[in-house]
Amino acid sequence: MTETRDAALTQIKSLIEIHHLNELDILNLYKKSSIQDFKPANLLQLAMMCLGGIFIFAGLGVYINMIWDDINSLSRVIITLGSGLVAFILSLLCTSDARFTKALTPFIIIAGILQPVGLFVFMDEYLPHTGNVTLAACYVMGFMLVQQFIAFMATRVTGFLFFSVFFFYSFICMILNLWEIRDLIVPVVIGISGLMVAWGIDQTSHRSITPFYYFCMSGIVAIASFDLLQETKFDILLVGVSLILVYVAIVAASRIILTVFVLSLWGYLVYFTNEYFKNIVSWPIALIILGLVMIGVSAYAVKIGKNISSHA
Amino acid sequence: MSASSFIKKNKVLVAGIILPFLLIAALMLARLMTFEPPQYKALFYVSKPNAKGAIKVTKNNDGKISAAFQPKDSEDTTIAYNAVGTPNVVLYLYDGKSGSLESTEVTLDQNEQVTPLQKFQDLEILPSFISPDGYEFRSPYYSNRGSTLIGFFGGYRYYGGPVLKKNNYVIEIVGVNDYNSAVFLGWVNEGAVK
Repeated sequence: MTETRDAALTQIKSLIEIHHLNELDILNLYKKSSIQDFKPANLLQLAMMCLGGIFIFAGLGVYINMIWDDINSLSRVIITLGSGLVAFILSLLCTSDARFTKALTPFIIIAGILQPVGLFVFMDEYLPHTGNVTLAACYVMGFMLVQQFIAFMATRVTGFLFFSVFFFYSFICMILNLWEIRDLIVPVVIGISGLMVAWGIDQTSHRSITPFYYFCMSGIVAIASFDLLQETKFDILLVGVSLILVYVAIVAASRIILTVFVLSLWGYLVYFTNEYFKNIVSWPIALIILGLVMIGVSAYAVKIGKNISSHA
Repeated sequence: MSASSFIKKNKVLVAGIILPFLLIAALMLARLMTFEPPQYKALFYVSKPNAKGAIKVTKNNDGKISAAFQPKDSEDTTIAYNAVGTPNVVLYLYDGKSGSLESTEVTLDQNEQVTPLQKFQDLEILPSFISPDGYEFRSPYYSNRGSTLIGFFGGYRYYGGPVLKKNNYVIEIVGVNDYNSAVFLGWVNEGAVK
């Protein structure tokens, strides 16, 4: 019995080493989700606590805004960048102590918001003004990307990965703004890139952050495709974009992308009826057909959604 | 896990990360291949009025420029007269081909007369605000938003200083002091310079 147990432990140890798992990954196996921990009565308590936290932050923000003109440059930097850095350090400390794992995500969020703001304040207060705001934003997003990515590589905490992806695309956007790359194809490619990255993350243990990026990136693909193709002779390809989205939704087993597919197809159908049927006698008939198609699309989406949830 | 095994295991993720960089490289390459530098020099000035008044630089009907001192008018609220020192104007001539920037200062002498424009007075200015090769002068520079998302992905940009712009090409003019008040006079007709 003891030998079998020892063999199992040795096997577990080797698996941990092969897959570079850390303490948190193992703990996550035994941890229920935070929503499951809260029964309905406790959910209200959680909601009130969150609301209270928001009020405290709002109050602090308003107070800082009121005294902003009366404090010196150093105080402004300490309030913003200093608080952000402290939150970042505390989040790193939380990763090494299992007792504070619940405080980890709030600290990461606070650091992810306050640090970029603080860096802008620091540049505004201490560096010469060149008038090139976009370049300043490039430096801030680049710094945050490097910091969050290094933190993720060191700790393997999902929250840092979330902000790494966020600042990566923010940095790309700033580069595009800086170099004035404004071709209509750019947002489409960015959206596709984001979907690929989200799908890649979905295959790892950090998949909890992917619904947010699936939603944002598929929305970007849908809207950017519309910008690219509307009022051109290729606008019929918008239907193809919707089909690609539904294909991605099925492959990624994501109901979020499916929702974006339904919304985008509705939008495209409204565009097509407005563009091609508005000023003809059959306009009311077109509206009826549009309504029927929308109902059909919704029913189809619900069917696919059920299939996705049954396979998940 | 080595880099090659990571790439093999996460092909889609790696491709997704590389894709924006490939796009940027391709578009920048295409832009460089079609880039045509400005063929005409841009003439503009930066004015510093003071409590006495301001020096005004104007373009005449014959295409030449002239400078005149305008004393303070108590009813005129368009010029900031609260500055101290001697009123002056710095004229700038920017050559987009070489990137060189020449300047001269015009101020008041001891007799309260405007100092000469030196070589700038021989320049002849073209009547159009857009150069014959399609460039225009902007200061400060705000890029336009093109569509729903393009504003976020590369369509919006602010630069406080003067720029020369043609389609998506923007050339920043570096080295201008107090660039916020740069005023464009026109494009120099090179054939007319003596």
